[in-house]
Order: sequence, then structure tokens, then C-alpha cells
Amino acid sequence: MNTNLLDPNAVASGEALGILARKIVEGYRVGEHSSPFQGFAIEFAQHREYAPGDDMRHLDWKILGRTDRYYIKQYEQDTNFIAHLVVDCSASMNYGSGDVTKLHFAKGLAACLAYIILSQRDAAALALVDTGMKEYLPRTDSLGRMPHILDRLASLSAGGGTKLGVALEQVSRQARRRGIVFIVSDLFDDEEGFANGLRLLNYSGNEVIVLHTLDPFELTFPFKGQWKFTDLESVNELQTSPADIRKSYLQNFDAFRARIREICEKYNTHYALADTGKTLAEIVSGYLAFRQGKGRP
Amino acid sequence: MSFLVPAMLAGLAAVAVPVAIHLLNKFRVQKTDWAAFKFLADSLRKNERRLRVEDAILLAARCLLVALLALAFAQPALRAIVSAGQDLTGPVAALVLLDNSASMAQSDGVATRLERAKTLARDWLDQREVRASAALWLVSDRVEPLVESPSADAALFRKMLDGAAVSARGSDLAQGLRAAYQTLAGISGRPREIRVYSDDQTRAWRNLDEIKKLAVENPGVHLRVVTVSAAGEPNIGVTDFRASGGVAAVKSPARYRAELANFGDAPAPAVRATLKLDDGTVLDEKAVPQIEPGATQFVDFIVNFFTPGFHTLTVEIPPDAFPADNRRTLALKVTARAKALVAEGNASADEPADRDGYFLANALVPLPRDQAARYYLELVFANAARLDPATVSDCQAVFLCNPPAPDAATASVLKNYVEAGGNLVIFPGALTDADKFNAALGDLLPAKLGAAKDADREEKFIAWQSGDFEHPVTALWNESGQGTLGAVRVSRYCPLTVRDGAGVIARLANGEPAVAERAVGKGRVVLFNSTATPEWNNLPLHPAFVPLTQRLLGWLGGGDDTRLTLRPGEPFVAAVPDGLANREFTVQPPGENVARETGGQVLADGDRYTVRYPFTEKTGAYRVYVGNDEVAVFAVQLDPAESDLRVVAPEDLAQLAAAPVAASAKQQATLTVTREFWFALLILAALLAVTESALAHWFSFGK
Repeated sequence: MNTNLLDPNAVASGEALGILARKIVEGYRVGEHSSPFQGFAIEFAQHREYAPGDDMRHLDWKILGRTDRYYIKQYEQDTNFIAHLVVDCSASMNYGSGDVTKLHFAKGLAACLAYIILSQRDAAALALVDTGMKEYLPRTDSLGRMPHILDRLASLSAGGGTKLGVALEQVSRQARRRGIVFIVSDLFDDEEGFANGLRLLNYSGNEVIVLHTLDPFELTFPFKGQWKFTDLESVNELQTSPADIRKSYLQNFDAFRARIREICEKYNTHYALADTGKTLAEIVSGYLAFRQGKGRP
Repeated sequence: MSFLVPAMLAGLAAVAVPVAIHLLNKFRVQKTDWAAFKFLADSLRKNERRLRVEDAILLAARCLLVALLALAFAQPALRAIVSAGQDLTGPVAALVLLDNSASMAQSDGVATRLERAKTLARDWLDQREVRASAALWLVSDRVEPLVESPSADAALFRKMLDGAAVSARGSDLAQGLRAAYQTLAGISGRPREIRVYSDDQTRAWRNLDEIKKLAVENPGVHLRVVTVSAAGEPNIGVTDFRASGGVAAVKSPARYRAELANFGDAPAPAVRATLKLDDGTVLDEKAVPQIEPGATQFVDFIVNFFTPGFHTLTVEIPPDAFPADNRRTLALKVTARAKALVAEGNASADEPADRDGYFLANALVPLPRDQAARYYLELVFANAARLDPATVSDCQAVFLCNPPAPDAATASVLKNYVEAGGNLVIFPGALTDADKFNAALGDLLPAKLGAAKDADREEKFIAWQSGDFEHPVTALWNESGQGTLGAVRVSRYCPLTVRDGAGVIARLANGEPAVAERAVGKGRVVLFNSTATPEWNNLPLHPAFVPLTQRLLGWLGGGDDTRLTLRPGEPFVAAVPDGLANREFTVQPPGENVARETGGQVLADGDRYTVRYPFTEKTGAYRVYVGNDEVAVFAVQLDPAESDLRVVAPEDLAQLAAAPVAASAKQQATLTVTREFWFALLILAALLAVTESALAHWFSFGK
């Protein structure tokens, strides 16, 4: 098993906090999460009048004895959720100002989330995307599949352009049951396509979480002197004195993040910044704590 | 515009440095891959134009900064071809030369010339610009800076001007102007001016040609002459007063001559001259019937002194507008007894009249034998072939008559005697071997003695010159009333070849020297070319022999007296007895009721002890005391040229003002720095450096 991707601190804090679905999810077995299906489980939900064909086992005999009316007792069904971990492996994710590239950070983040999800007996699926869905690992709820996920993540390399709109549309087709979709990406793509992808996932009833993975240099642009920048997703180059345009760049970049946040809010999506300058533990625990504070809707 | 240090213009090449650094920075590029490329590209596209402009501004500012520094170090300056008449802008740097020579004491009844000059200088000072500066120098025959160089301190100038006083000195404006031009040469970029406040006395401007030349050579300096005198101001003065015959000895008549001059335009009638002794006792008074304009008259006084020691004689004329030359004082030392040695080559003649020194001895003591003992001069006789130090040491003069060549010991005695202040008079004769004599005493003699020869065989004799005597001993015979020396005839003589520096007292009619003299050490040697007896000439029989001998003796003895009469400012030095060594001495300067002042200390000067007193600016008699004992008296006399108050022709001064412009303006005009810009450029460079830094900071962090 390739355990390099698993950050023990992140996993430990994540396990402690756990991941609860904020929306009602459609699991395929009983779990800890609210299911849209009301059955006859433990949690009483409501009464309804008996209709022919109803299972007589759910008839409320006490009401029948007191009122001569036939009511059926209904219960809420708890289920597990299926989390789709969408990891951007476009060329732009190959940037890293320090030892860690964004892709490496995204892999670690996905690995930790997968481990936390599987360890709480929920299911996880892995979608690796760039201009489309490059690879898809179907759902699994077995922690025993974790090595397979890690190996797959470890062997992942970045390259090519980004078309998140296309990729997320493909992911939405795979996520037929309502579940949770984690998008780990720098989102350096067509914002309209990304918004469209979110819209599809949202309309599918998925709870979508965007983990916006950015390098600290991209956030602060601290270069001094003359620099030649080469675009990771094209052959374009440009030479400038970054100090001269830092303010303008940061304005552009902050505007971009603001637009992304607007899109996320529009489609009821959680937005969280995954600064690769921080540790995985900080990012995971920080987000899960925030999420737990929000509670179940 | 030109540059004072043009070599620094090479520094302009350093303008390439900022360009090179700029280009170097462009090439010194770090590389990186970048994910958020589109945001960077957007920013660059938006700011590209601005960045180019900013880069260009900074590069231009840096290049300009380097260029400004290079220009500043090259010291750019405006130069102009400046002539003396050309005005420059800015506050003037002036040097005021105030003539304080004695002639500036001339008064018009209200104010002296110096007072009028000070008033005019003060008026000019009041009118000049606030930022103008001025120096003040007093000029006579020396330069005395009161405000050394042009200063804006008007209060100091006024204070010094108010304190300026007339001196007793002569005038020479040329030396003051020479120094003034040199001083102003060190000032540039401002109008420069020399203002001369003088009485335009001819004497002061006697070096007018040199002054004109200075003005031509310094066309950038204005020369303005402000005169305070008017032509035709009358003045009668005592221009000379000196001993003119005889010896200042007790009960021995001595002759003193005063020279009175009329420098006015009208005859001066009945000019009265009064002779006073020491404290004002009137000894004699004489009147000159009339002195014509520009003429001089001599007044002779015969004085008999009755007490030995230091005395002063003062001759006075009635007061006039220029009081400084109305009296003149002479200091002298009257001896009680004196001794002279007559050393003869042949002292053993049967007849006294045949002795080589007979006629000379009678001329030296012109009294009957029974009265000779009362005469101040005591004669001692000796053999000229052998003289010892004891014999000659206390003699006022030694006369060698027909001497043979002295042996080494005698020659040494004579040399030591003369160098110590003795006077040696030599009459060659038949016993005198010229070659040996020259060999023995050659370095003492005023002339080389030639072998005796006869005068022209046809004429049998050669006469002395009859007039045009230049030496004070014989100058008396320039006057017709005193007889003539042309009757002195020489039949045999030793030709004299006068040495450099020697003087000629009298000549033969053929121009050959008859009597030569020369100062040696502190003494003097006189060499006749013939005998002191009638053997070779008739001089001993001539009526002029006695006065000539007496005048010669007086002149030889007057050497000390001439040292007692000084020019203003000339230090007085006199030997005093050794017993006064290291004692303090005091000096009573001229004037009535003037207290004694400390003069200094009696100090060793070689093998003697002397008093030295340098503060001799006032004219008149000074008395020197050690304790209460008078040890010396000396007198300071006005420069006689200062009595001549005639003024230089106005057209000459006008020429002086015009000379630099008219005569050689184009040839002599020089490039003069009128304004320098290096400091302004440095300020500009500093401002540009600050601006560049601010811009660079703003461009880097402001956008």
C-alpha cells in the first residue's frame, strides 16, 4: 500500500471529526446518514392512513384500538453516502513553489478524505479529471480497497489542459445516487464550464464541496527581479518584473477567487481554500470542523 | 559657457552605466513555470504601457543624474572677455586703497586730505549694495592691510576707516596696487574694483607706467581713483637738513645746511628759518629773501657745541597748511676730544716742513701751536712702516702720508682698525711701491693704485676738476662763492683704478679719479692719488686744503651721525657699553610732554651690545635711556619727496582709467569666470537622486 499520501495528522483529525452529509443522501445500505427513503426502521417519522397493499406489520394498533382508524407508522431510514472525489490532474496542478506541488497536495487531500470516508463505512469513488474524466474508480465502501485507491493516486501524473465543465458533467452521470462530491482543483479553467458542472451536480441532489487548491505564491505573488514565466498548460512565455505588476495581478487573482465563490454560493456549494502552504491536517481539520459546525440541514 | 576642469567631461561616458545596468537586468532573468498564467498575462497587458513609460522615466533620470554629476565635476562656468571698463552683475568685491602718506596731512583749513578721503570712502560705503564686500588697505611707501580681504562686514570697515591716521612715510601707490590686483585675482564671478583714495600727488603716482600696465593686465578689475587735492596748493618745506662741514666736537665750529623748497605756484618771500638745539633753545635764525616757485634755497648754520654727548638740532620755518615738513630734526653726537694719527713714511726730516705729514697736520689742527692743546683734535704721529693696534685703536682717523708698503702685521692692524669702524686716509708718495702696496692692502683700497707717473710733460701738471662735484665732501665747491678746486694742480700721481662700489670724491680734469673712497666693514678708506706735501701737487698750499681736510674729517666722523638720522619706520640700532647688557631701555618719542615708553632690552649683537627700537613712525627726536642715563638720541626725518604736493596731471589719470579699454582691450582682455554652476548642478543632482528614489519606490510598490 502506498501510504506516503496519507498524512497521519490529517487522518487522525479527520476521523475524529468525521464527515456527515449535509444533505439527504441516497445510500445503498443502512448507515449514519439520512436517506430520502422512509421505511420502517428505527426513527419514527409520521403516521399516514392505511392504504391497501400496505404491510400490515406497520399498522399502529394502538390508534386502531382507540379510534377505529387505520394508520400506518412511518420511520426515517439512515443510510451511508457515496462520496465522489474529483481530483484535477491538469498540467496547471503541477506547480509548486516549495517541495509540494498542487497535484501532490490534491492527491494527499483526496487520500485522506477517502480514508476518513471509508473508515466511517461510507463509500468513496475517485474521479481523475483534466479535459474530461480521465479515470474513474467506482465506489467502494471497503477500507480494504484503500490501497488500491492510494496506488492509483500515487501513479497519477498531471498533464494536459483543463475542462472542468466537461469533466464534472461526466462525474454527474456517474453519481446517480445523491451523495457528496469533493472537487479538488485549482479551477484554472473556463469559469462558465465550471459553473455548468456545478449546476448539474447540484441539480442531481449532490452536496458539492470545492477544495480550491492554490499555491502560496499564486496567492501572494512575491517574486522580485526579472522573471520569465512559462505557462504550464501551453507554450506561452512572458518576461516581466513581477514587483511592477504585483498589485494588478493580485487584484486579478482575488477577483477570480471572488467569482468562484459566487458560483459556489449560487449552486449551494461549499467553497474552501486549500492553501498548499499549509499542512493537510490544517486543511482537513479546518474544513471538517467548519462543516460540523454547520450541522445537518 | 566653458568648463574649468574639462577633463571631468569624460565622466559623461558614465551615462552608459545606467543603460548597461538596465540592459543587464533585462538579461539577468530567473525562470519559473507558472500555473496562473492568464492572470499574469492580463496584468501585464493592462500595465505594459505604464511599465514602459516608468522604465523610460527611471532610465532617463539615472542617466541624467550621472550626466549632472559629470558636468558638476567639470565645473561649468560662464566666462566673459572682460575689460576694465566692463560692468558685471552681482555685488562688488572692492579693495579700498587709502593713501596715508605724509602728504595726506595737508589741510585746507577745515580738514586734511586724509579726512576728506575718509569721508568720501565712508560715503561710498553707505551707497554700496548690501551684499557688496570691501577690504581696506593703508598705502604709503608700504602696504598696511586693515581689512585684509573683501569682507561684507561694513561695521569693521567703518571702524578701521575711522581709526586710519596719517603716517610720516612717503608714497608709492604702485606697490599697493600691485598687491591689490593680486588679491582680487583670487576672486571670480563678481565685479571687482580697486578704489584709490589719494591726493594724486606726483610722487605717489611716479610709477604711473607700471600702474597703467597693471590695469591693462587686469582688465576685469575696475580701477577708480578718487582724488582729494586741488592743483596749486602752496607749500614751503624743509626738505633737507644735514651736517655739511666740520666735526661735531666741543668748541669746534660745525656747519649745518638746511634746504628750503617752495612747491607752490607763487614766490615765497622772506622765509625765516630758525635753528633750535635740543629742548628748543634758539641757536640761530636766518631769513631767505625769496624762494621762487619750484626752487630751493640753502641756509647754512655754523654751530659751536659747548657740551659733549647726544644733541639734536631742529630747523623750523613758519607754519603753513602742511605742518609735517615745517621742521626737520637732526641728531648728532658731540665729541669732547678726538684723536687722529698721522703716520709718515719719512718722519725724520731735518725741517718740519719736509715731513710727509707736516701740511696735513696743520690742516687738521688749524690753530697756532699754543692754542692747539685746547682744540678738540689731538694729533699723534707715528712711522707708517710699522703700526701697532694700541696706537691706532682710539683714533678717529689714521692718515698715511707717503707710506711704504706695510708689512703683514701693519696691514693686519689697519684692516682690523677699519673693519671695526676706523677711518683710513692714504696719501701715496715716493716711498709708496704701488704693486706692493696693492698686494698688502688691496682688499681695503677703494681703487687699485698705479705706479707713480708724471703729468703731461708739456703741461707739467694736471688740474683737479673745477665743478660738478657729486660727493658731499667736495659738493661745497660747486658754489662759486667757495672758490674752486680747479686750481689744484698735480704734477705727479699714482693713477687710480676705482673698484666697483667705491665712490669718487674728486677727479682730475682729464677725468681720472683724484680721490676715491670706499666703506669697508664699519669704517671707511679714502685714497688720494698724490702726496700730502707740495712735492707732487699744490693741494697742501691751496686755500681749499684746510676746509677740504676738515670736511673730509667731518664726513668721516659723521658716519655715526648719519646712523642717527632715520626714515620713518626704519629701525634704530645703536651700540651701547657692555655694562648695560640685558638692561631694559626706554624711549621718549617726539612731542611735548610725551612719556617714556618701554623700548626693549639691551641685547648682544655679535661682539657688542645694542639697543634696537623699531617703532619710528613719527618724525622728530627720540631719546633712549637705560635707567635715567641717556644712551642714545636719534631723529626721524620726513621723506622730503612728500613736501612736493604738486599733483599728477589729470589727463594722466584719465589715461589710466581709459588704458585698459582703449589701448589694448582686445589684445589684453582676458577670459574671466563670471559665474560658476557646479554647486547648482550638485543641488540639482541631489534633488534628482531623491526624485529618482521616490519614483522607483512608487513605481515598484504603488501599482
